[in-house]
Parts: sequence; structure tokens; C-alpha cells
Amino acid sequence: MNEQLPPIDSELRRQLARRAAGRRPDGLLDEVSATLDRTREPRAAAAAGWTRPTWRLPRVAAAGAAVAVVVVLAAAIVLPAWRNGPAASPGGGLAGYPAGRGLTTAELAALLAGPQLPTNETLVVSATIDIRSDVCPMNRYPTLGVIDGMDPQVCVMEGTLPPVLNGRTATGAFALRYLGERTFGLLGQVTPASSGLAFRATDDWPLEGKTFLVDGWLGATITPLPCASTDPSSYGDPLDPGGTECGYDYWLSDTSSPPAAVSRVAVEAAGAAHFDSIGVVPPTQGLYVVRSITDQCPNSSPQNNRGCSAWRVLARVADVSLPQPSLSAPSSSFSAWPSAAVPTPTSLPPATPVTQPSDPLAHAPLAAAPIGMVGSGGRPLTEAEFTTLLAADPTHLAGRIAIVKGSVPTGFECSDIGTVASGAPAPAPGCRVLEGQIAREGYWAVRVGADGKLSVVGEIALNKTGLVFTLDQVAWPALGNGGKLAVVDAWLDWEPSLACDTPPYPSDSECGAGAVWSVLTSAPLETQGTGYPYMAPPPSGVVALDLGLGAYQIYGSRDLEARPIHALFLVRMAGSGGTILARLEVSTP
Amino acid sequence: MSAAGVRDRHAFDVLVRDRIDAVYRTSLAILGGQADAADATQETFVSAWTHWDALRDPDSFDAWLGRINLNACRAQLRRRGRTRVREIRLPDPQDGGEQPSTDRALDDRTADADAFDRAFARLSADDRAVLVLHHLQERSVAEIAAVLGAPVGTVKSRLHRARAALESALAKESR
Repeated sequence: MNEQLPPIDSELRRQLARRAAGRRPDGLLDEVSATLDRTREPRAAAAAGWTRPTWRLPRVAAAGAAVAVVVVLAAAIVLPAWRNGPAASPGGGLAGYPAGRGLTTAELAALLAGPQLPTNETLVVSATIDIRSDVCPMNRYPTLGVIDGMDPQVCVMEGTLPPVLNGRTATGAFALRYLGERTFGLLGQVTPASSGLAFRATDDWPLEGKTFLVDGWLGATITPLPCASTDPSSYGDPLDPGGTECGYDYWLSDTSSPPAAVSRVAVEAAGAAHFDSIGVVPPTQGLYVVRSITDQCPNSSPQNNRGCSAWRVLARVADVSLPQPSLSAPSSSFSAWPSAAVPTPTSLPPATPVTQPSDPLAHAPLAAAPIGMVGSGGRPLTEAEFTTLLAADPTHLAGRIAIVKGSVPTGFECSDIGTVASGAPAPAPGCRVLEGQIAREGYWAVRVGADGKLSVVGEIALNKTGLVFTLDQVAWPALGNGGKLAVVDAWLDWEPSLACDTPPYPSDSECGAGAVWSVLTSAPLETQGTGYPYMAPPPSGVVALDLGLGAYQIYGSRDLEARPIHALFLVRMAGSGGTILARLEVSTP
Repeated sequence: MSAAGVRDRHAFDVLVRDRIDAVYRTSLAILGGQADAADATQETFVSAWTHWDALRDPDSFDAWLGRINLNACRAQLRRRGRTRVREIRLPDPQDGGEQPSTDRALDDRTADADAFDRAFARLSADDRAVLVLHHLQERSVAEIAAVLGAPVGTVKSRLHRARAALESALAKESR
């Protein structure tokens, strides 16, 4: 019977038999039976096959815009007091957020000042976006603008879903996905419900083209449809998630109970479930970003452009936990570095440009990752050298991080906050402003923002011999778990993933998309095709540190570069791993 | 119990009792974790019950159930991506498995099994399923095609691709 197939592999059979050898858990049969008792799904409905959701009456269409203004104004009036005392509950919750209101910019600043947000995390923010394309270069998405009033700047990139925002500014509540390095991608401007931001599943939802929030349960019914191998590309893009997926009928409901057919709405959610790792069996409660779209009708010819309407889930809003009040955002940024005599330039800007705003190809893939600046011999830049570089070409330096020895004018303290208890989360790192404090000398990572404004990224750790650590000598525990920065001389390598469910579980948005597992090593390794740095231990005598590529991955063009890369890297340590903030280039002769 | 005789819950319960061990073991082979396998098993039967009217040919019930089971395993794999729990399985004395004769043999077998499981975890749900259906359950090509919903002619190539993917993953694990 199996003559067309390869012969049975006895070793493979032995291993599979071992995997399948577990005894069925006691009580599983009873659990199945009990679940069936609770299942009252009208069975005939399942035979209807794929169905598009029906449109609701447009009762909220006209009221939506007015309510949006009211909500934003209310947030602006009521919530500024938070700036002096965040209203975060001990559990980290925020009254009204996110179903009732968006985060204020002050709250967003506090979040960004705390532990690094996970890539792809979705937030709802009430803000004004200053629309401009001459900032925030990224090779992945075009620039939409920056969030008004945020300093250091927070960039917003444009997704591929229409409509884009027009005009010079746009004010409202926005659903934003975090892309890394103070950069978000726009999922959409939120059309509010009448009683807050979020709708319920049983409400009338906004019409075509609108993006809105639904507070409910996202679930799926597993269907008996035969499925070809899952094509990862069908999940779309994090800012433009795909919709349908063979084998699943997704729905949003006010309850977790799948059989409640009268209160559930069929949705497309394959991409969101993938990118946000949403478990849909059993359903997951949350606040979901939904858009009403028109798409190709199933089984219709390509020439049929009339399209079908559908609700598509774009993301699940993250459960936000704000840092403690003591970790308020570092609102101070330097309007100017402490004055220093400007010598005749003796140094040159880094060889690799970060951005050329006037270049029409500014959105084309960049040739390299963010390049930071460090002095020759691995020493920090002096204030004079840094000032000279800034004076020579501030635009050229926008977006860079410089390693500088100097004093911080307004008084910053960057340190671990709190202590690590066994089993407790790592303490939130951050910098806080010490009002009225005298300037403090130190080694700092300083980011050059738009218009030449400077901000402190953090204080650089020093070892016994200077600024640069090697992986051999570095005593990582001494750097703390709280986000200390270090300059590390190492080799960077990575390996693309094979499947999305393989530990150590990278960001789902990167599943199968290329470099997701990365490692710094003390010696170059031949890693391509070897499985390292997936899970195999490094060779004897080689020190390795698993890291998130962070900004390097998001902004850099990995494909253009040979592997591995030997360089100085600015690394933020966290726990047993860390994130690469920049690759450093020597910027002085 | 034949699927053709299912008219009510009682009859379906009998059918569940007849198939639950097979579904659980298939789920366990694909997913590798007991909790995941139990969840997938439960979801398989619930989905079969709710979609019962979609089964047009009772004679193809097992392939139809296998397809639902595969889809449930896919869903379970995605859930696992969120929970990130690594389950440690202890040998079950009731399995009657072969006992290692020495500590060294135990070490070798454990390392061997661990490497295989890590390699298997790199495969997609579909690759895992086709390997299980052929090499463990020794299903015919027609049966595999029915479960996967793929033409008979493509089953062989998918099996070949899955085997190659496993070999590649095993090679990486052995370095």
C-alpha cells in the first residue's frame, strides 16, 4: 500500500513512538465529555462554509468624529495631572486605559523610559502626530512623522493600510505598534465608541475604512477544511496583517463561549493571531484593533474587483504596566551641550551616513545598521570632539548615539531602580532627572536627535582597563540586570529561523523572515548552516552572549553585510541577555 | 462504532471513546507535550461535534477527524509560542518501555531523544504531521492525502521535504 512512499525508517519510527508513548491523562475523556455537554453550537451553521460578516447599520458613523474630539479633549483636560504623579495602580494598571482612553504622551514617555518595550507590542496613544518625512529613517517603512511634544522624539512610521493621515498634523487616539528604538508603526487612527474608546462585539461597528477597538474575546473554531502547508507570507506584515487562514474560523465575542453564535462576529484575524501570538483556542480576552476592509471575495475571479467587506483584526492591545512614579520620563534633554571651546575640526564624521533627509531615496534600504560614534582606540569622545562633530554636520549625525565623556548639565542619574528578588521581575532601569543637582562627570551614551538636540541614553559601564569590554573579560553580573550600557568588542552573527515555534521564541513578526537569533562571540564562528546560534552550545573556548539585535535588526540591512561582523557594539544588558543599540565607528583620527 | 451510526450525543460519546487514545497519541507525537496534546485532543472532538454536519461521507470519518486534529495541533503550536513553557516529560513506567542497562546507556538515550525532540521542534506542524502519519502510523498514501487535504501525487514530495527538513535540523543539533 505504501509502495509510492519511502520505506519506514526504523529509527525515526522509534523516536516518534517514544514521543507518542505517553499515557492519556486521567480524566481527559471526562473533560471532553463535559465540554461537549456545554457545546450547543448549531451544527447546521458549521456546514455553511466560509461566510463574510454582514455589515451593521451605520449608526455611529456621524457621531464618531465628534466623540473622538470629546475623548481627546477629555484626556487632555483630565489627565495632565499625571505628569506630576502617574495614576498607575500598584498592579500597573491605568484607569480607563485602553478601553476608555489612550495613553497620554506623558504616560508614553514614562513607558519608554522604563524597560524596553517588546517589539510588536501595540499601544493606544492619544496624541498629535506632527506629519513630516524628513526624520526617522528606516528601511522597513516610510516615515509618517513624530509624536508632538515628545522629547526625545518618538517616531511614527507608516503602514501599508490606507488611509494615511493627511495634513500637517493629526490629532486623536492612535493604535501604534512598537517597532523599536522609540519608533512606532501606525495601525490606524481609532474611531471611538460612544461610551469610551472601545466597542463591544454586540455594538454597531464603524464603517468601511475605519479603525476601531473592540473589547472582547477573540477565538476560533477549528474547521475540518483541508489545508495546504501554511505559507508564512499569508500572515502579511505587522502593520498590515493578513486575514483568513485555512483551518480557522475566527470570531470576536462578548463572551468566551464559542457556542454563543448570536453574540459573536466573524472576523479575519490570522495575521494578528500570528504576530501577537494570540491563543484562540481557548479564546483570549483583550482589546483588539479592528479595521473594516474591502478585500477580494473568496473564490471570485481576479477580474471581479467589486470586493467583499470584512472585519479584520490588526492587533491585540498590550497590557500596559507603567514604571513606578520615580521612573518618570527623563524630560530634560540638552538644548545644547555644555559650552566648550570649538577647536578647528580635527575629526571626521563617521564614514557611514545614517540619513540624508533630502535624498529622495531616503527610504531605500540603508547600507548599515545605526552607527554610533566612539573615539579612537576605543576611548570616549571628549566634549570638544563631540561638539566639533555636531558643529560640522548636525544633520548627518541625526539618529546616532555617541559615547562621550563629559558632564550632564541638568543632573541625571541612571541606575538600577530597586532590587532583584528571587523570581521577581528585573528592576526597571532608567535615568531620572535630579533637579537642582550639580553636573556630574561620567561616560555617557548620548543620542543626537532631530535638530541637533541631545538626550541621554544611559551611563556607560567601565571595566578596569577602560571603556571597552571583551566577552572574555566582561563580568556581566557586575553590570547588573537593570539595563546598564557597555561597549563590547565582539563578533556578531545570526541565523535565520526555520519555524515559528522553536525556542527561544523570537518576535513572531520575524518568524521565518531572516535573522532572528543573534549572538555576540569572542571569536569568529562559522555559523551558517550549523544550527548555531539556534540552540547549540558555542565551541570550547568561545564566549557567547545571546542578544536581541534590537535597532540593529530593525534599521540595518542584514542582507548586504558579510557575516560575522567584528566591531564595537553598544549593548544594553538585561538579565542574562541584552540588546544591541548600535554598532560603533571610530569618529576621530 | 461506525461514524455512520452517529445520531446523538450518546453515539458520539462512544465514538470519542473509541478514538481518543489514537487522537491523543497523534497529538503527542506532533506536539511533544502532554498538556498541549490533551488540549488538542479536546479541541479535536469538540470541533468534530460542532462541525458534524460537514461530514458528508461517514466512511471518511477517520481522515476527516485526522484533518481536524492536525488543525488543532497547528493552533496549539501557536499558543505555545505565547506561553513559552517547556515541559519535561518523565518516563512512564506503565509504558513498558525498554529499560536502559547502564547509566551510560541512559545518558546516551536521553541525549539522543533530546536532540531529536529539539530537531523535531524546528519543523512545521505539517512536516511533523506527514512524518507521523507515514513513519509512525504507517498510513497509506491515500490516507495521508486525505488527512492533509493534498493530492496523492504531492504527498510523496511533501514527505520527502519533511524528511529533508528533519535531517537538516538533526545535523544542526548534532554539532
